[in-house]
Amino acid sequence: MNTAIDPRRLHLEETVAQANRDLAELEAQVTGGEIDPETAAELRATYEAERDQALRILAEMDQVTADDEPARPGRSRRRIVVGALILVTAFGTAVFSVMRTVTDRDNPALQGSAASGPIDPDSVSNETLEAVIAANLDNPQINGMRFALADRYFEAGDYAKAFPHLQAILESDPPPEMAAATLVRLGWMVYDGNQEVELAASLIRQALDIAPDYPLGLYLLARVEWCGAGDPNAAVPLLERALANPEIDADSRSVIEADLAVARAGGSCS
Amino acid sequence: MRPARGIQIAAFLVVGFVVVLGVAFAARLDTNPRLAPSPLIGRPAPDFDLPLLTGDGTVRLTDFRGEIVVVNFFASWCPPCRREHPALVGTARAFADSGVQFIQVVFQDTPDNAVAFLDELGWSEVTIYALDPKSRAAIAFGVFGIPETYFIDPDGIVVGKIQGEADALVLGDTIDTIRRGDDPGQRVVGETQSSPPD
Repeated sequence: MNTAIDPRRLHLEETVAQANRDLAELEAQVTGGEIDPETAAELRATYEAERDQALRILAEMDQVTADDEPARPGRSRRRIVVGALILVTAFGTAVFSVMRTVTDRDNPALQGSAASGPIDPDSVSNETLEAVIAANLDNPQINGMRFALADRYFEAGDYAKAFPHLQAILESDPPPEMAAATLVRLGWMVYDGNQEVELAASLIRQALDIAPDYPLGLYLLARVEWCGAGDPNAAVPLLERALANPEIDADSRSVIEADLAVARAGGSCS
Repeated sequence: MRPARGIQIAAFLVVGFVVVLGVAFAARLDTNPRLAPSPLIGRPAPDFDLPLLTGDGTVRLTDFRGEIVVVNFFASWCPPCRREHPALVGTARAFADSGVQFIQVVFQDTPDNAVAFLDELGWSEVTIYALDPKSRAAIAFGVFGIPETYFIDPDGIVVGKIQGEADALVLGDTIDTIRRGDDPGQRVVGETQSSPPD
């Protein structure tokens, strides 16, 4: 396995990260009414162009080295908790039902693939979802599918691909609960990907202003406050509020309870 | 004057032959060839070496062995092709980095009209657009009407066909099916047109 650091790749990844930080900050300013739409649109176009150009070059580099790509490490327990909490969203997102709504077709060909039977949502690739979204940009129902796809990327830690979809959702004036879920993911991405503690906390707090009991938001803000800002005391009430949600599954609950115990004791996050 | 007996028999035979032909033809009408399974499914794709719609050079199907190839026949005079176009562009882009190559072949249309069609509806930067002089590729693939889309697996075998205007979900699901190692087979999703309007 080649472990050499490629300075060009590092530069490009930093360009993408910086553009994403700028975009997230911009969306926060737009949401807070701190910037006029015209200026925001110009800045957004500039940041997106920089990011997209860097992503294109990175994709070309990935294509060349795809065969040498090491296997992804297994999912950590923490990531599984995030995955489980994602399921306790403030709103339901079923890929296939959204798909049916978006395509709006009563067509036998949509009912199955080679064999008969309905299309299994889990078998639909990210590329197909990307294609369906691209072909239905004017359809207001597309946000549900965008969110489902963004969540796949988010859960896989592929923030570069999740970001444009979450950004598009925010720009489309989504319903409050979807806006909250989107802001939480953006917040976590700028923290986990770029260690931007203040911006991350700000975005997740905006989400919790909209949906105060959203367990993923509470849990991730606790992690940002504790692991990022080094303040376990700030994490305690957030973790307690997350645990108050009866829909959290047992595994997630045990992880959050363990975190809570350490935070209460003033320990450092792990 | 009465006709000779031999002539009567010949006339009877002719009438009988016409009746038999008529019955056979009627029977064929019941089995609409457009809905019949493509004989190409499961067989090697007919190779082609077609001139590009713009610029010099050609596109040869066998050059893409190892990739999934989606071959779509279209024309500017075909309304379902216009409706289908955004889905083809979006799907081609979405799968461009995943070993899937889209080739769109102009069917019974002029290069100028095809270019105008794409100028109006949008080009895909990852799709190859080709001409089909004398419709040789269309004939080899057995195109009855357009839009028609063929799916060729990495071994060069035709494993799927869509007749009519496909949307991105149908196109993507067909590719996903191939990538899982299954054969999508044939789907009829809408009307096709076999010739330009008068």
